[in-house]
Amino acid sequence: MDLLHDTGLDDLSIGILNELASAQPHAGMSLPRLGKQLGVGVSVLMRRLSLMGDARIGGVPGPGWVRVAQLSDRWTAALTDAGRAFCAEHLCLS
Amino acid sequence: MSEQKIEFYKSPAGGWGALKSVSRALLAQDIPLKGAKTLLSANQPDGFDCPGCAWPDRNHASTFEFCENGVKAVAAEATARRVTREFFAQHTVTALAEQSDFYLEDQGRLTEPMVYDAGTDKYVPIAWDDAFALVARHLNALPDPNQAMFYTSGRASNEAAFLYQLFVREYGTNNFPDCSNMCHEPSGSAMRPQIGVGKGTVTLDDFERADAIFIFGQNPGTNHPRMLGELRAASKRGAKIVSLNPLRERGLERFADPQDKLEMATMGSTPISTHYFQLRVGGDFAFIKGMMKHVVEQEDAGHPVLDHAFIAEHTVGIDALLDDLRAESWPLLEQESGLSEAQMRSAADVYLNAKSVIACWGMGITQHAHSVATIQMITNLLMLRGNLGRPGAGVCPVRGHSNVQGDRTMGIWEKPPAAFLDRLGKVFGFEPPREPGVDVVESIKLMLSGKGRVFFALGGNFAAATPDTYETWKGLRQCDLTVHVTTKLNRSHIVHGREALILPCLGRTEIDVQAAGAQGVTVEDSMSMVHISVGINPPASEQLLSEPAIVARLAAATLGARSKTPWLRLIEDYARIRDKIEAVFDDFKGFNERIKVPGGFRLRNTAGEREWVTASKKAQFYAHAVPLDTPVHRAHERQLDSVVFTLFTTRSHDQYNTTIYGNDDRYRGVFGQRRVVFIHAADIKRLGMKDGDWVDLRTAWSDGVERRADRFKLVAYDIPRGCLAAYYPETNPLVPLSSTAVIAGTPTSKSIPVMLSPHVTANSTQRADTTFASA
Repeated sequence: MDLLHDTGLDDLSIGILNELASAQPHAGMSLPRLGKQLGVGVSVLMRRLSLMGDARIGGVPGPGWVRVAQLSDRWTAALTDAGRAFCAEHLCLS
Repeated sequence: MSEQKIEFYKSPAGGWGALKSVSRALLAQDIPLKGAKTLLSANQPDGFDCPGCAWPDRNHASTFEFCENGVKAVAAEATARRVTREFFAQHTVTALAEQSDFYLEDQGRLTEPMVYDAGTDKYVPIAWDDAFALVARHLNALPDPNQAMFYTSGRASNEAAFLYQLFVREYGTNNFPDCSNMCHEPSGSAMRPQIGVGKGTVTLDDFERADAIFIFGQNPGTNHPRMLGELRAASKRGAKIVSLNPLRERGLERFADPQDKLEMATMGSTPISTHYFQLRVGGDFAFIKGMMKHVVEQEDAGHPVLDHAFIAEHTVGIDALLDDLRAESWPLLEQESGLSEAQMRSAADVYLNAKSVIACWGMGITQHAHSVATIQMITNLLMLRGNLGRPGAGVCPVRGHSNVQGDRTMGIWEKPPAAFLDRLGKVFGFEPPREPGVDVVESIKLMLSGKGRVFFALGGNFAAATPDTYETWKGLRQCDLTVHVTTKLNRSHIVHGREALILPCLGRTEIDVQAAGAQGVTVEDSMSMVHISVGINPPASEQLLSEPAIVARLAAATLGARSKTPWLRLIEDYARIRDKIEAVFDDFKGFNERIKVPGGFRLRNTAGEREWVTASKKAQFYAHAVPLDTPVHRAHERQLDSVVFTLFTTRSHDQYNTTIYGNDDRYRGVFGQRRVVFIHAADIKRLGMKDGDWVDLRTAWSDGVERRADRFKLVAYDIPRGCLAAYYPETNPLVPLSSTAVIAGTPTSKSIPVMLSPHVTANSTQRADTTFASA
């Protein structure tokens, strides 16, 4: 966690990475659950996920750490390979 | 696209039909993921304001507080489809002109600025700076700033609108045609002199307390679906809901809330209207007068029903009104309303039995020649029993586009008050122009006269929204330059001036990053709540600019050293724009702090506090005679050998303003088509025709100009005899430019005298380049 803070990321981004890193690999986490775990509204969550995806926003390419997917009626967010590699480097998993 | 059919719709408004429609809207745009993402945060705290209608949100906290048509608006913006330079390279403008409005909209999001190339008849890419320089060159070459017109759509945010009006006034004109001119202008024109404000006085809390809600000329099921939630709740607790509408509208009859699990599981629904009066098109004035006459007769019969304390303390003009009501003739009121004395008395009894009454209205009231007088009659009715400025009571003009009210608050007005101009000039160090500008209809006339030479549109679809279509298009084509700030392709980009620009902008769902980081914009809903909206999706293209950025960069390019305003600094952080708004408008004191509260804050409404900012410092009763010299009356007198109908234009359910999302109108049973005209079965028989026959429509007007709209299918419908309804923009060509509301200047799109004739297949009068082609 401390290592992640050293990257200069804000708490919400760190929280998202932490939650997704602790989820089942590739399965991701449902958006409502993720929002509930982090105590933020879905709009706040989605805005942050947009910024953590791979889209260019404000002329800056996103890091591509997360991907949002639809499985039937279930909406999930999951780490990408790049996200997992980032977390492996910076996240102290217990 | 749906199969073409006419099929009676049996289900309630909302319900499973709404959910299926939502899914279709998302899938049609190839965005099941992005659309749902977007929906999850629509109108939520820290979310964004739905770019659809201006109906407010109860608490900005419900997880799925959205409506079917809001989904369509959001999905349309979040579409995965893109209109690229390659698209324009493949299509001439002439070829695009043959396409329907639905097709143009359906091509997706515009991705980079484009300029019209007359040599190839195609749009070609242009750099942003070159585009701004082109506009600046045209504007600065005009001998008089009043030869330029600056249109505003109701989608523009407060920040964009504020900068825009500042730029235009620093440039030197008050020429601000806007979408208000075509919708609720009469509401402001009526209420400002009467009660001192041009906005509604009620809040959502008032809807919880009202004993009776009167809905005049409005179809919330299609145009403000979230309002059905308030009406449903009112209905469940026993409030009386009285609807006055020529058409039977499903949303005014029954509603199944897609968010109510029990109602959805049991296929149940809630009745909405306790009383439904199908009056003649334009019959509201007479009907309301009949209601007031009944009230006065009750008072005169010894049943004290007037609120004498309120009238004495807060109003002037009551005696003239009472005298006028007593002298009014019931047969005349019956003739003009199309309903019986008993029906008017019945509606009035609902009014008398309610302690607190709200009156809502929409375009069915405002788009008539005598709309200002009709709205003043509605307010009269409320004031007779003190239904103004107390809980559960008041006026509620229901606005259309999401920030149309906010734009006017920000100064988008061709007739700005002197005090506002004084303050604006003082804050920004310039002398604003004092001469009133032109509204929508006057803009078109200015273009046609050759004096209107540059037309700039901040959003909207002017060519499709305006009346007298072919005249409007002639005017636009005469302009030296037309410029449209827009998210998607529409008719106004195809009907253009000698030079033309398309400037693509960010949508409200998209993240707007400026120098200081991601920015939010503010909007004001129909009940004067101001709140912030922050995008959540990545922009459709990296080349898109926000509307504030477009306005600021254009202002800098045009005004140069003439302006003291730090245009580019203001857009680095929109909080700086809000600081300037606060400096100009006292009501926005603490603006940046107040929008941090979820749901924002409410602007002060003096009439809601029973403070009357009028000439007399009192609320004013107005006595008006029943209008008997309307264009419809005159047409009946002139066309003695023909059947003259009164046509009103309306939206389909798959439509938001001029944006056509699909070709269905589910609640009215129309599928896969738009060229239909709703008519009473007995009128079809009277014409010697049958349901499903094709007809041509011609305006019964006296200026010698033939206005027609050809090839419409007759659809037998529950509508009063002598009345017709059909969709716009297809029927806009029938609305004469000279037919406007008294005082307000709003086109009278809800009362057009027309004649029908069997469609002639070989008719050559339908000009190929002017067709609103559709299914």
